[in-house]
Amino acid sequence: MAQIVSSHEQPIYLRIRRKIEERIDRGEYPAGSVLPSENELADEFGTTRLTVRNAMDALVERGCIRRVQGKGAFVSSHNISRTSVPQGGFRKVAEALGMEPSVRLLASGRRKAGAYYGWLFGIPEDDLLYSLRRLNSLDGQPVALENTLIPLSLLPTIEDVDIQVFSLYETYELLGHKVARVQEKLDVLALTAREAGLLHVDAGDVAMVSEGVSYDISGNAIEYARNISRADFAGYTFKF
Amino acid sequence: MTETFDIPPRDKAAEGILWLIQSEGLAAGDRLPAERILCERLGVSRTALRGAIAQLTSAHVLESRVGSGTYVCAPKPLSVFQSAGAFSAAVRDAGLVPSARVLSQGFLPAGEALAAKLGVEVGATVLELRRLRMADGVPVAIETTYVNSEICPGIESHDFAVESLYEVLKQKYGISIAHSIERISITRVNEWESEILGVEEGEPAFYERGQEWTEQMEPVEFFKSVTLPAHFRFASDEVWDTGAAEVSDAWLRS
Repeated sequence: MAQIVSSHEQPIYLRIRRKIEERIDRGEYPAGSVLPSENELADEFGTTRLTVRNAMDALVERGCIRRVQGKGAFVSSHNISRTSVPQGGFRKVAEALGMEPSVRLLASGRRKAGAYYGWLFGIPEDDLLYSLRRLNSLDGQPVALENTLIPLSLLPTIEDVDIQVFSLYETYELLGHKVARVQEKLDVLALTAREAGLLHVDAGDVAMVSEGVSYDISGNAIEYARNISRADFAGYTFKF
Repeated sequence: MTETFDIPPRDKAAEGILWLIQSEGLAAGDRLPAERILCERLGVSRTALRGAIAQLTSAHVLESRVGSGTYVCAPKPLSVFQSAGAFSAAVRDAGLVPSARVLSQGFLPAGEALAAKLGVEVGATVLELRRLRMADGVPVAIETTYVNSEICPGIESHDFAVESLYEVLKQKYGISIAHSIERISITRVNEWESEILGVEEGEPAFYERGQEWTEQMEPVEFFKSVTLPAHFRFASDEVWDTGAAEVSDAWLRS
């Protein structure tokens, strides 16, 4: 009885906020999914779009929801901690530089692991990998090419998450394989004509290459990534 | 549903070669099988194979010797940041013999930037030590170190061609490095460096800068180095979660 009274006394935007939270908690709106639009929610609750927006604002601030221009509002995971983002993670680096990061998906698809990546991931060579090629830009200027391979046997639903919204590391965490260890090695090489073209520099210019394997807490290799960064934006900082 | 694609021929060839090296335990100086045999074995065309060899040569995995074929490169010393290994340790771990030549050694008055890095007054005396680091006698890096000599008087009497700076600091002065920050970027070797390192001027190289402190955050040294990527690698093995299971370093060291 007391509950009903109190809910009547609450402003409508607070009731909507609680409803959305409940639905996220119950998994009705699963982590990584897009919420119904503000208009749809307004219709459902018999209120205005502005009130729904007001209800969601605090959830955005708390990091429960992420709004993306032109795409809607997405459910984050409650347990994504800011500190779990890699030191050198692209978005993190952009943030530190005060620049606007953007990620363009150049290609994605599935391929067989083959003998070499089968060995690297510890999976049969006929298992499938999800392959992504992305171009990272800062303030619209291309700075790095990233090729990523992810074993689908470990992360079978990886393709359902919108990687324009969530970083891959956040996505692994959403799917229960939070990164616990990262091995990385650096190299320097001259860019091919194709790579140079995508990065808006000259063929033969040097770039820094970082190859990395990420592991979950059980020691499963969940990602192999090869990042080619323009020399003027390449730099790795290590601290202890 | 995502499309499934066939592995592009050049990637297939490159992965095939990497797997050959891994599975057959090919070592430094081993020659790759002849093109015709490799093409058959990996199921790729000559064009794809040549593209892959060029890619792996540029990545310092293979080297082509004119007139005699393609060989597996010598294992590169790997400096894993978290194991805080000095240059010599990384070289020894790769089964090579480390050595050094002192290019110059002397005192200089600290300028503003250096004084700030070493936590000394402007004009304070700083030891500058410039060394060529080698692996099996092959030049790998030029390292310039600036040491706050106020905390280690008499350090200049040591011969850093044979002695380790860290060992001397630790054994004689009781100074141990507890904190460090390093930044690695890219440079091209200048004329002077190219002569010392025996490479062409303009050759790309790693440029490393670092600062080190004691447990009490007292600055000990500032260093910079120019390192040839054909002979050395920087790496990191970072555990983010202390509960993480042990993993092999086979890939990291490959």
